[in-house]
Amino acid sequence: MTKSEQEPRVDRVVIALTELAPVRQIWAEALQFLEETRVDLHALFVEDERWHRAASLPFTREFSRVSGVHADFTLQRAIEVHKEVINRAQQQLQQLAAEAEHELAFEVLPESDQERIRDLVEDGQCIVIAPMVLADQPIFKELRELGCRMVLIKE
Amino acid sequence: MNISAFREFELSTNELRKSCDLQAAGFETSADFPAEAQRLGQQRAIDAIRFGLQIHDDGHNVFVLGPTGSNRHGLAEELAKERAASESPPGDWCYVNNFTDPERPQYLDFPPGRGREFHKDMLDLIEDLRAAIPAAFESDDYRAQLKAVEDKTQKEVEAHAQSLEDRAKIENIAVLQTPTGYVLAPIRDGKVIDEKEFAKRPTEERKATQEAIERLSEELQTHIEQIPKLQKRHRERVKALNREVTEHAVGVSLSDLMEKYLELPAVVAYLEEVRSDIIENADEFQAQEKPTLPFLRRDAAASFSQYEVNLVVSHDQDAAAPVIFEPNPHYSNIIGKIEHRAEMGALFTDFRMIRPGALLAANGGYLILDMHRVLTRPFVWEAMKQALFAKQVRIESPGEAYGFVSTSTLQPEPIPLDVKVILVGERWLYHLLAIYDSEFNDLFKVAADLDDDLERTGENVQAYASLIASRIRDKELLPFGLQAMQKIVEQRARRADDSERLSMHMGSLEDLLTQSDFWARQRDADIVDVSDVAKAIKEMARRLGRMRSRIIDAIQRDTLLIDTEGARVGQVNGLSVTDLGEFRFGHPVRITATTRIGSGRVVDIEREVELGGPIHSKGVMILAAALSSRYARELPLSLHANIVFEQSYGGVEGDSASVAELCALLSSIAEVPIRQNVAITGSTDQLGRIQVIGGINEKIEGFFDLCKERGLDGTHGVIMPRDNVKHLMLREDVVEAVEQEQFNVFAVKSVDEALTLLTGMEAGQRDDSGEFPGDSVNHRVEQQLIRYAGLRRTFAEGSKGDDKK
Repeated sequence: MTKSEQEPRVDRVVIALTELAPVRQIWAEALQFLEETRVDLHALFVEDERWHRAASLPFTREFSRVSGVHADFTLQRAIEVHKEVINRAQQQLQQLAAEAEHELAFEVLPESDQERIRDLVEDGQCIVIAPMVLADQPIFKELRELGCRMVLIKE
Repeated sequence: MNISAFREFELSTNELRKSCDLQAAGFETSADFPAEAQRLGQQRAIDAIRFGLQIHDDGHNVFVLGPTGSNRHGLAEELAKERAASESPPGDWCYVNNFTDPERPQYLDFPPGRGREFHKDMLDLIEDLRAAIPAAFESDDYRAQLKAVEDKTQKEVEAHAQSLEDRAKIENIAVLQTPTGYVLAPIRDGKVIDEKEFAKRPTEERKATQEAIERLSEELQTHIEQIPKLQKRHRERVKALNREVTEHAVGVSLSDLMEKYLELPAVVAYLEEVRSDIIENADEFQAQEKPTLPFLRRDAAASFSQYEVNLVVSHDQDAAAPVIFEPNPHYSNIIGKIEHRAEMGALFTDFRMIRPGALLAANGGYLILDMHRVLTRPFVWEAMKQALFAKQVRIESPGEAYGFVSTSTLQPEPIPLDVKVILVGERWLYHLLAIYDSEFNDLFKVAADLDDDLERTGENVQAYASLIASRIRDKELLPFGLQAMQKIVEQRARRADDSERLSMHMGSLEDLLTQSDFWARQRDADIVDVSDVAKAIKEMARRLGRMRSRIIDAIQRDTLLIDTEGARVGQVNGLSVTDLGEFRFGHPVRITATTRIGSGRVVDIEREVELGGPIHSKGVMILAAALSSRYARELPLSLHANIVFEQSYGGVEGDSASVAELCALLSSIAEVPIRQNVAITGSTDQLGRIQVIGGINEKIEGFFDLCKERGLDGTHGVIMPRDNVKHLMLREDVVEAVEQEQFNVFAVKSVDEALTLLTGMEAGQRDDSGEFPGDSVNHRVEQQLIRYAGLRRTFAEGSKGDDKK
């Protein structure tokens, strides 16, 4: 974990997630800022369309982690996986927020919707906590250039 | 004949009741008498019990025979405690968990008191472990080591996955992780490409990509197969770490305990098992989050409880061998039991719920049981015999022991048994078991038969008085005056049915003492005097005397016909005793006989209607023999006689009326009337000798009471066997009436003497020529029988003549 920048005043904490993001680690980091004062808390699940793309290929198969047995990875299965991942991340975060007695706004964001992210970070003092994997996304490059404070968590 | 002619048969008042004289001792009240053990008169039984207690050989258990109230339990317990006092207390017994087979708990034996010590030591150990083990697992050191293990595993897994991902990346393939598995997808510039983009690729590239995916699929499967192995290796590492941490946490405590019990190898071996089990199951003892549903996970407290010790028997407070009396010997109380606890609707048990029975409690000592109770409690006798034969106690439910249930339960290791059992019971129980239970004689080889009574010698009377005084003191009763004491001793002779013996039935003695004390207290006396004892006796008789009163009443109202004046042919007043257990009373019965010519048969009507018992029937049969031997030695007995107990509607048993029956019979044959103001009791043999009978006092008193109701005039009396005189302990009012010549008691040795008294005629003895005197009863009887024989012969000849015609 590295903190690129840290300022004392924070009005909003934005948690950015992907499918493989380490939710607990990200939350633990976010909690440090939430403890300081009552701040606005947003979670953005940045959609990754790779499932749909992989599923569109006729030869793609899914291998069971438990047994090694494989089956065709269809579009329907990709949608199921996508929903399941989002639901799991949302439930996990909301449970953690409830335990810490914080209100959480959860949004699913297509990776191409850079405008919404910009809206969130431009409004007041904001900090973005995100997994390292998102660091290469164009939007995050832009945020960095805008001087937005960011904490990247290694998976 | 005048009544004065019978003086030779009359008994003097000092023959009717043998008084007790305790004056010689010089004491005034019971408080002055020295203490006397309750062993008086029971030396034979005491020797037998002591022999049984001392002999160490299989099967030499003791059976104390005696009636209820004979102090059989008290004596057995006293002697057993006396013996036990010279013996060291046996060891303690514990049940502990069997870690290899929990359904078969194992026992540990200890020197006395050390079992309890071990029980406490293990509780202390558990308390230590309960704190030490979770603390060890929560320590920074453990966490650091665990993290190192986890990191190592993680690195191995990552390295494994990374190598696959690296190889895939070279071929522009991504390994994507879904929630349940992996997907291999082609990428370009780090992004997964879709179908459209893939279709734009050259054919060779598409083919190469697909081949690469096929190849990587195989590698992926190999990778997946490796994951469980890596996980297993990780678990083993964690387990090894946990073992190491646990061993360190328990090591000191257990080592100290092992050293403490070094001289008990079985205990040390058990502690080694405990150590191994704790280390093996270290994960169980870590502090865990409480599960949502409590029954879903075994908590640490439950895990520690398996190291507790079930102390089933301890003798830490004892200085002698145990003497146990179990008043309610049902199966569980004797053998033991396995309890269960209900949890979420199911029943559970473990070694901690094994409960010992009396056999284990008395192990190494003495167990006293009431045999009647043992036999009336299901399964107990067989289970106890089995334990004594096998010399071990196997605690199991009766259902399991007899194969009635098939559910799985505990089978505790049988504990070696070394106990001396003392059974206490009635004589009939002993004899029945000796005959019908072939194993009984192998297990109970020593019989201690308590005497019912004690010879009434001067020395014994003094000792008996001391025994009474001891009981008075033990029961904290008022002191008894000397006369009251004498009255008690006399009553004990009466209870023994013998003026020359004293009853050893302690139960009835204590009852009399207690009730006498009650009546003394009722009149605010400081001392129990003779009137209180007399009242106690009288009131006891009154309480139980309803039936007696009804019979007297029925006779007085002529519902039951009993003549007490005049004379009648073929009718005599016999005497009967009704036994109500603790109370007996006598009353007269009217016996009649009728005779006619016949074939020599004497019919007992009681027997014909199946109201007569076998001994009564035997007595009547003897009559026929006596008749033949006395009067018809040289001619056929041509008589048919019927004998009946008039107005008797219940069973008749015993031969004590056989003299009365014979006299009625002879009266009928000779047509000589019998005095109704005299009753007679006694049995006869074939030669006309009169023999002793039981209940003599009650019989005489029964007739006396009736005559007294109707008015005594000095002619009333009872004829009794001479040999019964020693048994006389008549009530004072009867003795007083005799003294005042209002009532008579005659003792006779032969039927002839009885006949003389009953008929007022000479019975008659054969002279040198073999003839009876002409005016004697016997002469009349003989002449009548000769006449019957002649008539019968005449009839027989007439009958033959008729046949010829």
